Amino acid sequence: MELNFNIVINNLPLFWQATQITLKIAVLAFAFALLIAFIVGVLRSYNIPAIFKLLLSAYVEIFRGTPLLIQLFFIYYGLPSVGIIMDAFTAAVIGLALNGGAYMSESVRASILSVSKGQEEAAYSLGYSKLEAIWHIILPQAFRVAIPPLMNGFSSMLKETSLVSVISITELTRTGNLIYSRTLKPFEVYLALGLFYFIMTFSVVLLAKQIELKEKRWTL
Amino acid sequence: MLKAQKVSVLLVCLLVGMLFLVSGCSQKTNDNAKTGDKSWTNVEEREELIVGMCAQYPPFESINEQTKQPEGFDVDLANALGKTLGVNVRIVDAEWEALIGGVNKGDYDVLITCMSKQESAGSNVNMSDAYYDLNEIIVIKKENTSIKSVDDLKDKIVGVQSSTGAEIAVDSLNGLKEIKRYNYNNDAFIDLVNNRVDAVVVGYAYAASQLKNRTDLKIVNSPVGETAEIVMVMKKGNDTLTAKLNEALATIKTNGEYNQAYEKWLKL
Repeated sequence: MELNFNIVINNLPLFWQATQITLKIAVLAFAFALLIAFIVGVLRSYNIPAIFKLLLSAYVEIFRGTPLLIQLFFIYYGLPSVGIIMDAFTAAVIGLALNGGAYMSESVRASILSVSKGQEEAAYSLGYSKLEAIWHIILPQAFRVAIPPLMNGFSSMLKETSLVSVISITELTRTGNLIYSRTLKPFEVYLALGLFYFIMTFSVVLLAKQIELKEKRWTL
Repeated sequence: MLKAQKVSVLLVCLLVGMLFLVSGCSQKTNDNAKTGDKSWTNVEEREELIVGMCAQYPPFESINEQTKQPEGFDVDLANALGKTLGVNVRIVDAEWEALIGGVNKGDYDVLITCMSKQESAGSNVNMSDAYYDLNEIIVIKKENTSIKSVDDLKDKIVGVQSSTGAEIAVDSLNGLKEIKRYNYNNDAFIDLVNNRVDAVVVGYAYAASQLKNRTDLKIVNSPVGETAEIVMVMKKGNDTLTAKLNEALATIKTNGEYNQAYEKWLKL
């Protein structure tokens, strides 16, 4: 077998362009997912009217219980049938954000539940209102617990962006397939592709470690 | 003595002449024996032309859902050729990947299966004259009047199915605003209907079979990229059969049978 990594080097501009698209989708979708996860996770941790509780758990269960691929197909190809037309990029970000938000809201909820009830009671005894207790006492402690699973969420989201190639976005994976079909060099192309994804997710892991270290200063 | 000499010279001349004649004949038969090309004689003796195809490419060839028999342009073409040659035609449906191997092994006399010159060039086979020129063409919305030829695709968003001839054709164009690549042509058509792409480039065969009944889309018959010449494929060295089929192809092109098949299957 003859390996020729020049094809990877020659196609670096294409890979770089595609990496930017992948990162753009992943970061945007993650930001929205974080917002959704925070709102849904906090609301589901406390007593809210039953109708909201039902709606929120329906959202989480539906988006966790169906494949992201089908959600993307539905948003991009299905919704136009009822008059909702959006471009591929918007559809990708919305799909990934709704899906990631459902998963990550559970991480948020779990981390809130992990803060001992005593903390909340202590806050009340010091005259904090309910909202103040949540904002100043519970959430900062929950945040520390939530970092690892949320970073996990980001790296899975980054990898799941490869699915958006089905709605005609030429991101990293699609670009790799394209170069493969032109060069017929699967070993080099897919190895390079994996490397690009790994570099991205690993940078995020390093970043998460830094944040965790900072937070550790407050641990008893 | 002199007379005897003359006679002997004459005799020798005669002998040599005869030898020439004989060798001339045997030279010819020898030639045939050397290449062993009995491809046409075999078909003639068998009174049957065995045609291999992969019946999954309408409108060229596909299996009719009711009759379970292969039908399409290639089937009609094969039958017309058989009629002209005076032999029966037996069609064998096989997997695409097995076709070249099968024709080399002798399972089929000829492949008539919308195979292009480019596709078969690498496999060292005999090819007939091209019987059809297959292009990648443009599909747009019915109400679109701005795209009339391939040049009008400039600064437009063009959709295409990934890993197809159409994709190669679109990649060869310059000045497009964006190329959107889909897993299936159908996805590209959904985006065309929803105005997320301006035009879709597909193979003519696909357009001919899928767009016949659609009122919302229309075809701009302006070839994109390279034309694929569709040929019949035979085993390497089966020159007599190749010549016969080329002859028959020319005949049905003039006597109207080719046009009949074309009108029935390929006309848009």
